[in-house]
Amino acid sequence: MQNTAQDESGVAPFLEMRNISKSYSGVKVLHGVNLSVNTGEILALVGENGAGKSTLIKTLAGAITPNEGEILIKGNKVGFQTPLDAEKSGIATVYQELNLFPYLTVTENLFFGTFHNRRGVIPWKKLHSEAQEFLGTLGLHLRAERLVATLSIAEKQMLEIAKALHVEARVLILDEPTAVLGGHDVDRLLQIVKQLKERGVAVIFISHRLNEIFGLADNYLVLKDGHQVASGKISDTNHDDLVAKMVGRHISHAPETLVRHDKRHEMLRVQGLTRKGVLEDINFSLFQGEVLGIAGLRGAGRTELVRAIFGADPRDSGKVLIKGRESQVNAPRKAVETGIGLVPEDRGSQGLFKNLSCLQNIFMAKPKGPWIDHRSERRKAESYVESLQIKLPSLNTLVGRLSGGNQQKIVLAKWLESGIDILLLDEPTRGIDVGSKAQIYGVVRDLCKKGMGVILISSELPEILENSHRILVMYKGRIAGELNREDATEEAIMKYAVGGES
Amino acid sequence: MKVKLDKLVPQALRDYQVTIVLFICLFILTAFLAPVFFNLQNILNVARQASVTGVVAVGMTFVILTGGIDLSVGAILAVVGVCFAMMIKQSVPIPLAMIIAMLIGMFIGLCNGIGITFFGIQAFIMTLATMAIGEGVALLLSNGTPVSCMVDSPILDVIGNGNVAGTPGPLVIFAASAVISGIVLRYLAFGRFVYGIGGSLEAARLSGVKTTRILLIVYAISGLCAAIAGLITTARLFVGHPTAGGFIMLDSIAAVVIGGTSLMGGRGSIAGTVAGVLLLAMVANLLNLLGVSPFHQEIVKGVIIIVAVLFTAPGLKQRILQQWADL
Repeated sequence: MQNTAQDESGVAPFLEMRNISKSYSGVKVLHGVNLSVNTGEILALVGENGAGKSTLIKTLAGAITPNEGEILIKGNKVGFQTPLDAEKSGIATVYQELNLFPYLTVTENLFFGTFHNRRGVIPWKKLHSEAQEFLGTLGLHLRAERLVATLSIAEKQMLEIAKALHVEARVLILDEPTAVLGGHDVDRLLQIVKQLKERGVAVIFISHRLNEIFGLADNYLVLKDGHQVASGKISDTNHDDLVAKMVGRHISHAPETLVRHDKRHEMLRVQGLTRKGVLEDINFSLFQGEVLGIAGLRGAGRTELVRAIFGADPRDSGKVLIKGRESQVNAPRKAVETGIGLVPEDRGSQGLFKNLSCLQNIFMAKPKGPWIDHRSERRKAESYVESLQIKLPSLNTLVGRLSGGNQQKIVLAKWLESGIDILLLDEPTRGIDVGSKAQIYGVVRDLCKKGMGVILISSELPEILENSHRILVMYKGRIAGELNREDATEEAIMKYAVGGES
Repeated sequence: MKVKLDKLVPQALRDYQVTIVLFICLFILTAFLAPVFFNLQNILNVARQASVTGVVAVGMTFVILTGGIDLSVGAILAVVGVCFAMMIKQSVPIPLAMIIAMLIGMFIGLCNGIGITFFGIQAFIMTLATMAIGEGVALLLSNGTPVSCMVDSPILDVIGNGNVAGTPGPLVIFAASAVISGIVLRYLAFGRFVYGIGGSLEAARLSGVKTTRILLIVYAISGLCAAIAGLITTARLFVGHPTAGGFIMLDSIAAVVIGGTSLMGGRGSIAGTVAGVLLLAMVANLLNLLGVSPFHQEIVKGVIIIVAVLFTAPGLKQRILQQWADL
């Protein structure tokens, strides 16, 4: 624990991370990253999804311990075993998932763990007025007595920042704080971040919206695949340069033999699909045998789009035509009846029945007829195990015991069995090993050959590029651009995805 | 070594190993302490008594498999029992009275289902409310006193105190309901969806399962089973008793849980429930034969529930160590 009372006029930066490496079960996710930030300075940490930004800040926040490297505060080495250690050293983190107690008041959240009490009695009036005053100094006008559950997302975010500052954080880490905010709230948040800088707080700011970074940050650090690929003064770079650095010179992938798709047979057409505040005027078509990739950053509305098509979420206006006929799909069961299947992003709780057997999982979607023929089911299930190369001890094994890749194959088997012809894949390869990934895309190609239409959402740009005939890029609930396979590059996608000119 | 054991013992046996072991222990204990138990007449008596709880527990199994709970079964039993007795008193033909009584039970169950699905009320709360309402209605209808319905009817005799081919009528009903439910859960798509909803309601919905419809049916089944138990109770006593529900709710839940069905839903079976019902009945009878007071019996029942649940929970040792560390 270092004393933070001294004046920092020395050479050493306030916070320094040296040569940080981290591996998970043999896979290296951070390769010797160096980061430094000074008081009164804003560092922008950028990179694609999965580049290692979250892992890096988690090591700084004490949530995970790096395998190699050291963290120094004012030149003195510190070791964080727990988040509390980091907090004591003045490092506060505001994660994307906010850690507030929804049914406690603003005051209680702000002072949590630091209540004054006199012989067990909490002086509420005094606390509320103290909270009010403290919020005021940050330019926040929230009534301290309000329940956190009644606050808007922006207000919660501000409260989370206020909470971090209340414990006198010298370093504030903001993990994509603007991802969930609208235009006006973003401006307010950026204003507050600037104020913090003036107060001498060191800020590490993670954002995908490059435009924000240029008005705000002093320095930048680009991560790609766990490597530190560039860093420097923000004034020495520009939007396109930064995008190029984020994407990097990537290895060219072996060309995949994509199935020739049939533009004459339209499987799905979406017209003017809108869900207030989430999706705005979405129009596109999906053809037989086609893989339509949907790219975009987290929160751009990709999941919401496929869920709206599938009837899992309500929609406010717009039409969905399935094989030329207008469909009234307002519930997943109707989607399945019209031949649409969804492989959800959250495999564990939405795609699978973890406590049920593999067999039960495979036959959960729309069985033929009211009776179950256990013998023929077992035969069919065995044929799926063979054709999809699913590795399992027995069909009676609980699905939750399988590896991620095999779990996902069970989900695919479920949809194959149900006889659908439009498949919506939402991040189908998340958390799956490389071998299974290839197999899953192999299955997708086979399905296209058989005339299925597939929508593929992925945050892994190489996967989208490799497997899609066409790519739509979403930004803030809209389709920001459409790219053909020939024109699609990571740079082109990223440009649309970060809200560049269309 | 452990892997080998896994392969040797069939899945079904492993699922119910706790119940089976408890049963064996109980048998040995009984053989030593109260051999009278094995008298056929005594066994048939035990079975007759267990049947009321058994039928209710069968319906409860459906509900618990979906991850829900039905606290209103005792109240449904009471309302239906009172209504049945009143109808008989008014000389309504008995078969018609039985049908109406079962429809009443299904209707109350359906109300539970509607509250839980359409209005999003938690199963615990919704059925707690219908429990209170049902108990009140039973008391109102009967003016708080038992409704006597002493008539000479072969049907009443069969479902109450009589025998079918030497087997107690209620036991036949219990066995029939268990067999039918077992078939429904194993061989009907409906049954698979019941497990699916218990596994994950959201995943079931996203697999195209008609989740709302199935939940409504499940609670109606539970209501129907409680109503049948009400008919049996009235037929046995020739009285519609407004407080006949008594411990039936707790006993039926206990039987389901002892039978290895998870309160989280998705895992369990009718066979387990039947075993749970018989186990509880056997213990009660054994204690009776040994002259243990009813007060002590309740305590023993509680201990058995805890032991049964403890041993069905996986990773108990690890859990205890973790909790100790988190203390």
